[in-house]
Amino acid sequence: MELPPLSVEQLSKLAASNVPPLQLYEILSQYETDACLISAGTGSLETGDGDPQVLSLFYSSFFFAHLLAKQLPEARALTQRMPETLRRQDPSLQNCLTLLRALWQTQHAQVYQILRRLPWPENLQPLVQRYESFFQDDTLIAISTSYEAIRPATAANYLGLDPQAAEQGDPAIIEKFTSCGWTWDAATQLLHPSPITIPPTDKPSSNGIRETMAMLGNRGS
Amino acid sequence: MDTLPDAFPSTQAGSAASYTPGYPTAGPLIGGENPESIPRIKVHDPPKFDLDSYIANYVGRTRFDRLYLIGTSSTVLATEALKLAVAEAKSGKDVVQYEKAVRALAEAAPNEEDASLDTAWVRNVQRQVQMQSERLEQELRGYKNNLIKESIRMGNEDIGNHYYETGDLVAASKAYTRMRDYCTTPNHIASMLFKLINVSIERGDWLNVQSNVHRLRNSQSKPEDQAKNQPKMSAALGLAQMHSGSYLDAANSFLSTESSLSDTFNEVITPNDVAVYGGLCALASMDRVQLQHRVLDNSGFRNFLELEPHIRRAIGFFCNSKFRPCLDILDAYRTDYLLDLHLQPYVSELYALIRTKAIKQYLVPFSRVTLDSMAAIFAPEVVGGEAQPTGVSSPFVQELIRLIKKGVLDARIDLEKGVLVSNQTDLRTEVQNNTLESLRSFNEEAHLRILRASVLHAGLEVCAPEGERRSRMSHPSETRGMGIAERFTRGGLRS
Amino acid sequence: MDIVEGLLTKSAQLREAARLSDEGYDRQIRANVTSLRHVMSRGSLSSNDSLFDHFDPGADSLAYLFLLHAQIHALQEASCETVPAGLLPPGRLWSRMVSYLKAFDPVQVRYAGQEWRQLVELVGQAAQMASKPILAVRLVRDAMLRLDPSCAVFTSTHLLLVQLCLRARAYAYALPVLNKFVCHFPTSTSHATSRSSVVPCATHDSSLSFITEASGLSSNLTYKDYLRYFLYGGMVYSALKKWCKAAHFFGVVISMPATGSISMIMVEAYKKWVLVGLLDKGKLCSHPSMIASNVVKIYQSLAKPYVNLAQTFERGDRKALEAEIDAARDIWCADNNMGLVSQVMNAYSKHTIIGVKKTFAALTVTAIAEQASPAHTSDEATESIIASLIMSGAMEATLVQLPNRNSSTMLRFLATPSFRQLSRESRVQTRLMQERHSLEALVDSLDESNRHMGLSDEFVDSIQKGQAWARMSDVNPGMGEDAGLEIDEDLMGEVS
Repeated sequence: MELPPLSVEQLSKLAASNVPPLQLYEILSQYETDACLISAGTGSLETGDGDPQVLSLFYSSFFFAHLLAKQLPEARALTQRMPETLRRQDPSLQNCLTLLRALWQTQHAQVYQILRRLPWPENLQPLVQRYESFFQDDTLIAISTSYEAIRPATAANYLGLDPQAAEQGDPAIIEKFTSCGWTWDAATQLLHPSPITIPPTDKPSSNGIRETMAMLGNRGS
Repeated sequence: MDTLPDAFPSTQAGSAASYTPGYPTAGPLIGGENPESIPRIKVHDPPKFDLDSYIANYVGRTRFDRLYLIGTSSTVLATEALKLAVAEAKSGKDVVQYEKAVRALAEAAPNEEDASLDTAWVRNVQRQVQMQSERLEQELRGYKNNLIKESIRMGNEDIGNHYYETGDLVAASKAYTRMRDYCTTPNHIASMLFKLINVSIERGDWLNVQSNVHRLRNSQSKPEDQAKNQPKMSAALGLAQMHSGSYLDAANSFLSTESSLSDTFNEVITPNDVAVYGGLCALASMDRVQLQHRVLDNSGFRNFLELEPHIRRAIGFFCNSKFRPCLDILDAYRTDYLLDLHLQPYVSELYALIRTKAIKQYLVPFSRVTLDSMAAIFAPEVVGGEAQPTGVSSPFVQELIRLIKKGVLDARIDLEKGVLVSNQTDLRTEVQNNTLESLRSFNEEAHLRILRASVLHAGLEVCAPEGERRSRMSHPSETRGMGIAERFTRGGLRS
Repeated sequence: MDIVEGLLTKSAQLREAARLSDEGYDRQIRANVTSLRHVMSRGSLSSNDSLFDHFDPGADSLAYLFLLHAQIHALQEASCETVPAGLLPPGRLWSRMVSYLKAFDPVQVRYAGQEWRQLVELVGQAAQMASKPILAVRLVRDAMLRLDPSCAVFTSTHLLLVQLCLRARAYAYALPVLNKFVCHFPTSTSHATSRSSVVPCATHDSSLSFITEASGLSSNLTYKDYLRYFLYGGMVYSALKKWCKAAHFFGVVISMPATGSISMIMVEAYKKWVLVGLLDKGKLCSHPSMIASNVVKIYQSLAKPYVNLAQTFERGDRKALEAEIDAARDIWCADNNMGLVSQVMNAYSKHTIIGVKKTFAALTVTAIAEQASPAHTSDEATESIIASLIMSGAMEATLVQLPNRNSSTMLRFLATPSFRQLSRESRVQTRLMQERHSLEALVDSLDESNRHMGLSDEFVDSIQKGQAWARMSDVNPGMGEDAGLEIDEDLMGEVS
């Protein structure tokens, strides 16, 4: 399968598309050699980069693809593969590094701030927003199984909502939680999460293990 | 010609070395090793017993040892006991003992008349002892020349007794041991072994006590003599086992001591002591059923327990799961036991064992118990006094944490509801996790084995550098002797 | 141009022959390779780039391969270098090599293994010469998977791939190969299997049938090659924090059979194995059972600081652990293990917090901070550490906040209520399925070994192990995982 050549247009298209995370990751990973050649290529020797714009967009997109595929350690490795000068100068890549640090230290509030407040390039925005809602959903699921009771302010902090408003019992925020099955106890001012589970994609057969054991057993005879 | 079944190799050499005769502050040598390094336990509460009638129960050198221990441990009885100890020593011939008692008294009550050394007495006794030693040795040489076995045996016995009375326990032990070759009847042997046992007990050489008891048991005495000796043997064995920390064995030995012991062993142990030592060791090492069956229902031991009814009551309470009254009784007698020659070093350990066992037994019928109800039983003094009697930093909860971490209690603390929950395994989860884990480790091991087989088959085993060239011949026999020969060139990878 | 004509005819014949029986195809390919080698040796294939236009890298894999070699050879001759500048990316020849490795016919190259392998190695070397190892990573990996999707037979290319990945710091790229079980080594003779044809171009159950020593698909191997592969593979997994896999790879290195001496590679792996065990399990793991006890002693004496570190970790003395890490800093650095060692303190905190559940069924975050955390972390920080442990699945527990901001959050380690059980069980299910697939792959390899080598001692061992398992599941039908799984179906019914 031949991919269209690496270009800002192609990357913008990918960023805006709704390709599933693993597929996005796979497509972008195929561009990494191209990006590597571009960075070594024709550009001025002083900066050492070919086309900073396309490279910045590529590495930023690829970075987000790692995050969407939940590949945090490899995302860190990617930041070490970015062209040195570009990584140090490009604001978008700098933002990626800041984001990585916040994720590494599981600083939820910071993660949202970085995603929302920092200036991300226009054509990366769709990915940034996509990741924000991915991160939010992921965290929501995680809280729903980790907490039996949680103060709205804490929950809001985890999900990047306004903690002050949540603490005052802002109905809009409470409603966000009750809409996914959580219960709100107005007397204690606590939310009681109801675990959100995602059904596994492939239906596991209960015979699987039995067959496996049988297979194991037959080896000896 | 050896008439003695030597069940144990002689252990005298080792223990004699650790014994320092006449060391000024050496107490009665409890434990037998490094007596000077054991800090003296100080007891400030008055005991329940009356000193005079207490000491009247004993005879022989143990009287001094017991008085001296009480005098140096109890702040209440110090003067009284040490004065008695001085008097006790002065009635004998052991100068070192006397000097020790005077020194201790001088420390406790310097103004007492007895607190200064009677040097005239000391010189006099020393001279007498010296003369008698020479006389007895002289006599023994005479007997040896005459080759009369019985005389030699008695001569050695006299020398042993003499040294024993004057406090030279090593020499006494040697003299008694020399009797061995001249014993002609089982009675001689028994009497000699008892002498050795007594000396060993005083020296704190518990291994030697045990080996001599075994020799006694295997000696060819007449059945009626055996029966006569049994109570003393059991008591001595129990004492040795208690000192070795084998409380269950000790309990069993004391429990099997027959009541005919009476006052026959007063130079070491009284029936009251047997009741206390046996009772405490049993409480510390047996469960409720065993206590009921083997202690309370034991008709022989009942005779001893009647002498110390509170021990009987404590065991009864324990059997009925009434742990607080049981612990209360023990607490009430703690002072007494801390002033006991043999019990003192073990009181805290025995009490801790009993307490731990009580906590365990208390939990048996419950799947969950409130910490408050437990604290009411096991830490009543805390419940009144502290703001958070069952908070995480309270001593009682810390004690529970230690017990759980040591694996003594199979339970977990729920600080939210303030309960102790016994561990119920979630079978379903456990089975799933186990299956997963064993499948995973099976896969890993299968991979390792297949890979090893392939390596062997391809002749690619790790080998010394000179053999590095790949040899196509397979090596059917794997020689396992390995050295470190080859150097791995580092940094080949890390640029 | 007649040479080109000849090559074209041969290639056309070959395309035709692909439709023949395996034997016919085999004959045709062999003839083709012989004549190509002949042409090559005469040096009559000129370095005319336009020649490539006549051939398709896929259908004419052999001709294309030899043309590439002819060009490379010419460049090498001219420059007297193994990797001439003309080969480096992003040159024209480089692109040719790239497009060839993306498209080659995996059956045809079985007959020109040496040339194919040399091309792969050149790609690796060229990328490294250009200081861009990343350029070769994906290419080499995909070429390997194209040649042998099972990757079960160890070749020198396996080692090349992990080396490239480590140098490029592109770890996840290696996973499709690393996750496969390497079980075999190329053997000297193509062992005749009882069934069907033995020609390389046939469809084989196992790649062992065509990756032979004679095929040239791997260079000559020594023990260092596979030891390094598993050591480096373990390092790749460590970089990705896949500790369990990393421990297995290091475990492979330390348990390989040795005669006379062990390799320093094994000692190096042992050190990492100890560290990874601490990070994963929080303890000094027990050795794979097949390591001889005298070898274990050698490891322990050569890796003393590591064993000491693990023992201090197990003793649960935070201060001593910190001191020990500090004191031996030079050793960790010299061994290139500082990265792993620097994660030990965090692992210690993590395992201490997880260990709290052995003593407590529920306790406040404040209390856990007193029990397990280093001095003076705020309750909020401790709660957030605990929350992320739970969220990551490292700890099974739940947090309960109280209405009052100032009262400490409660941590509960209670039996999982059934509605929470569901997500846990689907996780277990997924992992069981993964293990099952591994097992299937291993069983296939076992069959292959069986066919190829008869019964060695090692082999009998693994069979006996299998029998023991069979017996176990015979005896214990109710207690097995089956019981668990059946209930599970009910639960699924309830929820959906």
